[in-house]
Amino acid sequence: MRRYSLVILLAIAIFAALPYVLPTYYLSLTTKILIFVLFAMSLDLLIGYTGLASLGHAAFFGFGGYVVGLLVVRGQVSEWIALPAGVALATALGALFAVLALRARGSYFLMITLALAQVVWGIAFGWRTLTGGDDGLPGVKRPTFIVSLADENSFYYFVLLMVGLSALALVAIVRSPFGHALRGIRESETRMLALGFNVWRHQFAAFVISAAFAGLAGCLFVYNTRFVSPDVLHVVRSAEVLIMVILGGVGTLLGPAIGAAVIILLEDFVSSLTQRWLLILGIVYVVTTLFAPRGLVGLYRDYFSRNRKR
Amino acid sequence: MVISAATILGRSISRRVVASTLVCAAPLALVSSVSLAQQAPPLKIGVILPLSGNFTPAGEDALTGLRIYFDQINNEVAGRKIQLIVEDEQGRPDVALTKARKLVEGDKVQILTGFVSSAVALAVNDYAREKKIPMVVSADGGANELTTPGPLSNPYLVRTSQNGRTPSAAAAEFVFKQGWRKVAAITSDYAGGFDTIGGFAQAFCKLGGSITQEQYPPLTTNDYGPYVTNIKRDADAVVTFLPGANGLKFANQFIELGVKDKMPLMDIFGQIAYEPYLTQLGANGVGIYSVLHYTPMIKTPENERFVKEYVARAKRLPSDNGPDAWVGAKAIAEAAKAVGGKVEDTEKFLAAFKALKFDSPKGPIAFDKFGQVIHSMYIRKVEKVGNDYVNTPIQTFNNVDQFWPFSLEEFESYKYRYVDLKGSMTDCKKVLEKK
Repeated sequence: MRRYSLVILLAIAIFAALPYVLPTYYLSLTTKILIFVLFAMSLDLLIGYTGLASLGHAAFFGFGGYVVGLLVVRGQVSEWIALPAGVALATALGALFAVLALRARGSYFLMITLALAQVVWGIAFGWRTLTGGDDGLPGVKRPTFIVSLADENSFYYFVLLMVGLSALALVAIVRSPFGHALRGIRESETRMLALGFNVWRHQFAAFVISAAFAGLAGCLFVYNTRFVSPDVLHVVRSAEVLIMVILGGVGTLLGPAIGAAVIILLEDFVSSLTQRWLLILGIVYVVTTLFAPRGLVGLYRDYFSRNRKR
Repeated sequence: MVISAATILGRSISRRVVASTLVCAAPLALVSSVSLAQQAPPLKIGVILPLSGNFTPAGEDALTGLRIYFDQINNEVAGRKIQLIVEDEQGRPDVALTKARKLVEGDKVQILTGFVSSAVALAVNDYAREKKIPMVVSADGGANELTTPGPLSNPYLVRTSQNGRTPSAAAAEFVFKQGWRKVAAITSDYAGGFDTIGGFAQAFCKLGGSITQEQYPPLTTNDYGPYVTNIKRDADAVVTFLPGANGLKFANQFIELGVKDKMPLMDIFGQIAYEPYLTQLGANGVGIYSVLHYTPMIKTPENERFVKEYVARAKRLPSDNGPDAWVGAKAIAEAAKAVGGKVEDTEKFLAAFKALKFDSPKGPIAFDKFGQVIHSMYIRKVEKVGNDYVNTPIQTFNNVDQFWPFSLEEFESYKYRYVDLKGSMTDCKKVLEKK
């Protein structure tokens, strides 16, 4: 336990020092990574801990973002209302989708979540007078929570705080009896039913919590880009975050965080080096699936446990 | 030569070199200033284009056009090497914004250029305005709002490509002149469609014509049969804006069902009469009218040279993105020359940019005070020349500015934005309602 707290303190110190070390571009890239870390972790609660693979998680991410964007740009609403409203409405959408999607399992669940997310995307794309259609909504101002977050440094600290607190909350959730029950459901729904657990209610709660954190990530994302377009709701976005989770390691929370960082950095560096960057990313995915089927964190753990045995 | 090189170098010349230039003989000074010229910091230009995803062909066209010009001047202007840093934005606004940040804050570029998708241009617009980085939109990114007064207007933005509404206005002029007073409009159900047909409706109603029917097939439509058979037969002509593969799908059924023989077709932005499609349409495509600010068939020395070079590089005829990016590249270079290479003085650089006038493959070029290009619009007709099917220009509107044929005041006096007109384009009274 002491080793863990040391690592956590060190991590806090490093993240707090980043604005003084990194050039501004890399700081803004770190902000983007942190936001996707939260998004990927929220999805992992659903996939890794509850065993529900969703291909529509961008719906909550994008919906939260659109609520913030619409309230700020069209409504001129204060950020004290806009940000909580974004998270709250994304959560509500999560509850609605959970009721619809939790009737199915496996690939059918995947298809229903995909279809529901496409509906949200379609609305954002088509309702041009409200959402600006595919041109999106430019001009979302950075918020002021006591201090102005307009500059990169203070916004970075704000995102760091939000993502840090959310990560702590997620860790607490998966370690709680509720989290253990979720893992039980992932392994065997029927056994948990036999033990007297209300499986549906647990899955519903996990779905809604996951949507809430995804919504928060979406709100932060829109504040970061100061712009929202249907791209935040697109199925590619859902697939991207799914890949982050799988690449990092399903069911570990740390894994998706690492996966998010690796993918964003890879995309950034490789796409600047060559026009054939998609090919290189593809090769990385194939190699990871072949040699690290349990993700990067799984690879690391395998390696260490093997060394320990020696 | 020596003097101009010295003035261009400006502050970068050290006192010692100035002294030696004054003392030494001219040839020696020439040598020293040339070697200094190579030492001047490079002019870094960040190019943001889609090189993967849906918009790839447009992105590649623009990149080819841009490179043709910069290679022509040996990638050097006013004593500074031109360094292009090309970034793929994948057609996604947030990726484009990340790339813009990388280019401006990481690579320290002095100018951003490119921009095919309007959403991408709008996403980067705010950032460029905040960082006061000149943003040269030199590909399709045609959002009207970028260069009209309003919350999105950006004093650091200039555009060398068309804005959304002008080709529509030119189409309206041509259609009305042909005596076609009632038209059926078909456009894809998305932002660009409403802007394009809205622009047409406004200009056409003003002239005295009217749209009698509007149809909005989704962008993902595969079967255009129902839309074609639904066209009202009492219309004098059909006006379309169907981007990408939609144009070809529509045209095939428009021809197959025999409507093309009965009604003329005006294709705004040349999406059906797109050069790669012309070979596929073959003899059936002959007679289709289209409007765009370019056609490879323009008979000027500038364009013939450009087309030759473009075909040599890309093995196909250029679309409008090639010449637009060529104009962007030339304008950057000419404006840099006008300020003696000091593009870092953003205000002066942009003022010099907006004052430029030159001939280009797409015709004579100038800019208005908002930084939007003033260029020509071409009405084109598909014809067979030799064994090839080409877009022959049959009428040219010169000096078309972004508000043409209106003045800025008249343009701004209309109450409805184009997007609000969806569903009521047939009602000229509403289309022309003033504030």
